[in-house]
Amino acid sequence: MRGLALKALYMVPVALTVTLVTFLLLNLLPGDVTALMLGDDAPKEAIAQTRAALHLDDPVLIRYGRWLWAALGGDLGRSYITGQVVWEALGDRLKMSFQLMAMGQAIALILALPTGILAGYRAGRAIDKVLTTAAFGIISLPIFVKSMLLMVVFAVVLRWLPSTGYVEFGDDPWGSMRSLILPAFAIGLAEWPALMRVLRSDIIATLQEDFILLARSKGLSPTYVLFRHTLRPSCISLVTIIGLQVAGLLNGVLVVEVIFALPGVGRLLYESVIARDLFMVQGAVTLFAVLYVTINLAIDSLYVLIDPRVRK
Amino acid sequence: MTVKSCTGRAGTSGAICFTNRQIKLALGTAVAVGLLLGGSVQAAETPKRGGVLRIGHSTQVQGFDPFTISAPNFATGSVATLMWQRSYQPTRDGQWVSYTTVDRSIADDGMSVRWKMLKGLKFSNGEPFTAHAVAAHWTRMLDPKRNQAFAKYLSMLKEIVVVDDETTETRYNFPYPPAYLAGRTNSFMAQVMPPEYVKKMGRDVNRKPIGPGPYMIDNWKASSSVTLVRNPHYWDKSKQYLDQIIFKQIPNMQARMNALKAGDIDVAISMLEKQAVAAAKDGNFDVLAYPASGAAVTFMNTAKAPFDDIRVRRAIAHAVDRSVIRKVIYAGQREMATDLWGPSSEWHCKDVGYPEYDPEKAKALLKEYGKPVKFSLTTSTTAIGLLAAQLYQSFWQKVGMEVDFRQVQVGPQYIGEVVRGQYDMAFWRVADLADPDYQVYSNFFSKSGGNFTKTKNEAIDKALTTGRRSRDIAKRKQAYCEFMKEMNRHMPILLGGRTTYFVIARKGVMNLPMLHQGYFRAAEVWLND
Repeated sequence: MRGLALKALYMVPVALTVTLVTFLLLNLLPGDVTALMLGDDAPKEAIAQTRAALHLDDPVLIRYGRWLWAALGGDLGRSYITGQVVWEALGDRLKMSFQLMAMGQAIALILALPTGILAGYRAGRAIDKVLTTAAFGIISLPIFVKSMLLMVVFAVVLRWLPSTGYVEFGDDPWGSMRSLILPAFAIGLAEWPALMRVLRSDIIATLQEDFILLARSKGLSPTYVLFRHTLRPSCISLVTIIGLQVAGLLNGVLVVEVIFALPGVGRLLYESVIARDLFMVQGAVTLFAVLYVTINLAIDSLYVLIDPRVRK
Repeated sequence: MTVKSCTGRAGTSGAICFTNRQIKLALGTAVAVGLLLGGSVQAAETPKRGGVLRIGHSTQVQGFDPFTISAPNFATGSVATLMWQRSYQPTRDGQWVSYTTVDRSIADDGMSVRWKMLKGLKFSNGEPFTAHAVAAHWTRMLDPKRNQAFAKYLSMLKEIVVVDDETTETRYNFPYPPAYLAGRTNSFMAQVMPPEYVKKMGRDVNRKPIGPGPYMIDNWKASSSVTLVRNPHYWDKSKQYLDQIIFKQIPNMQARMNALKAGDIDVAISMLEKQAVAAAKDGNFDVLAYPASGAAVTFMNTAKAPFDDIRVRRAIAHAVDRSVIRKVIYAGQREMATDLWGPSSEWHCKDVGYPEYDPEKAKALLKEYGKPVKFSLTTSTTAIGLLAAQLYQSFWQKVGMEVDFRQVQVGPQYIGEVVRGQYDMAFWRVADLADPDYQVYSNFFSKSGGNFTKTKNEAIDKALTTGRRSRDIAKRKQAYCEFMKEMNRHMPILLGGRTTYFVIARKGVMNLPMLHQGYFRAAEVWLND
């Protein structure tokens, strides 16, 4: 527990470093923010007034300190482009991104657990070869193609699911789940092969361990040995990969968000970068940094539950 | 292949007929018209009331405060047409009729125009829409301390003052004849809101707008959808056909088409030729192709070498085989422009001498120039932008020019580089506007702040001045034809395809509107389900 507390403390310098570096990088970009806000032909007085209001003439570290102080109070500023409060814009999209991440990851796990176990347990046999080939086939299909195929089959031809758009969970829980099934499947299919391959390898390795031989020699059933003694120690790498995938998914699966017209944080960040909406970019990057560190902390705490040796 | 339908619109004086293989131009008179095609004839039936119209579009709705958005995209403009109905609206036969303006009088000296609006107009929050609100709005717009991104377009305006509750007087810095057309423009600058409301909302006014138009925003989910419902205070309730209008942002064009096929949207806007042709073939959709005024253009920075020499600029034009551009970029479905307005506009000029394809002449001009020609072409990061850049590059390389291109995301960076003159050559677009003055004066008059090509040409200046100042419409038209002839000789810009907007709708979506400025005026639509 002390180790976890220490890791939690690490979050602070990591988040500070990320926000500072982002702030500095955004300030290094050519061009003047006032030109975006006032236009290139703005009179000098108007430019001076706006620069003063935004404290743009202060040294960059002073400005960072001011931004950080406001951010700690929950004020991430406003979008230059839409005038929307940054925190509101992020909050609106985070709900969808969390839901999509959870559903996508759940689908990936639902596919990966049985196939990974089966492929590992039957390593080298026909079923292993079929699953491995399928995994390579699916991973080699770009997510754009997977998304379009799912959309055409299940929305356009069969009309079982909506093709695009997002229904908020609070408005209609079932409608919300339905609206994300296709994009979640696209993500799940993209994430599944890596999870399956990692689990397969770890299952194969664990099955070679002495304690498995001992369990078998005690006359325990193969199923019991597999699920009771093999699966848990084979999940360490799986959990690590899931942690990385979850953090990546939160940042947004841009292609999926664009194709299925989902209002996620990935699209928000992309559109903000294109439009040079600096406060929005700074706010989004800060949020991602905090989430990334938090998720990794959560993953570290999972290791403690999975592997008793970590506790020591 | 037969033409499935070319008419279908009472009073339509011309049409574009969309077949599986071609769009045939059948423009009877020089007025803007659209044409429906690839589907059933939309007979002139009595409009039905009710239903929800779902429109799929590509870009994010930006907001509605001119100071925040600076320039609206098609989605933003389309939503705005529901909240701010213009003083004048175009009819299907190309006429402009007054809806909310009951009288307009131009002063003898041409220095001012009085506008009297319909009595009893209200904003969607119930506040009266008065001359005071209009004047306060324009006072805010002309405030030099605010966003000056569009100030160059308003140089003619001095002030707008209140005459009485229903009458405003627009005063100009000089006699400004194009003013009589001012009410025709779907300008985002004319999105009037109550002054007290604007003050109270502060910067939130961009995302919480109110207007006097037939619909008002009920729900706005950023990057997802904007839902509009009837404005209960609208003056003409008989024209509020639909219960709800939903704009759904679907950025990917193929996904937008799939959503239409899946029945998740009723109309797809901002579509290109490829999808329109495919939809026409499909037979389950109505396809509207609207040839607007305006054109795709390529700016040359005449302040920088090599484009500071007219021989190079003309060589550039002679080297391009426009029939190939038409076939490859526009799938053979869009006419190539020879002037900035096209045959659907009352400002169209015939025989203005656009340089013909003649690579030998191009080589001769370059030889006469005597120096190597090397430049960079700025294009967007889109697939079509890249394709166009590669195609143009291949033509110019064939005659011995060295061309590279740089891809820049469309948005503030792209616009900023052109506005600041940080380019050699760049793709651009001349907008679809009711009167030429507004844009061409800004873009090509030598002393204008918006002269992005740095054009300096006395004949062009003279023609633009006549176009701006003359009160004789015939003289103005002649002046713009002179302008166009000189442009095609001086060549600060290359002309590309005529601006054409495409809309694809499912069957049962009736009365698809003319797409002036590319905006989809959904208030005119009704559902026949």
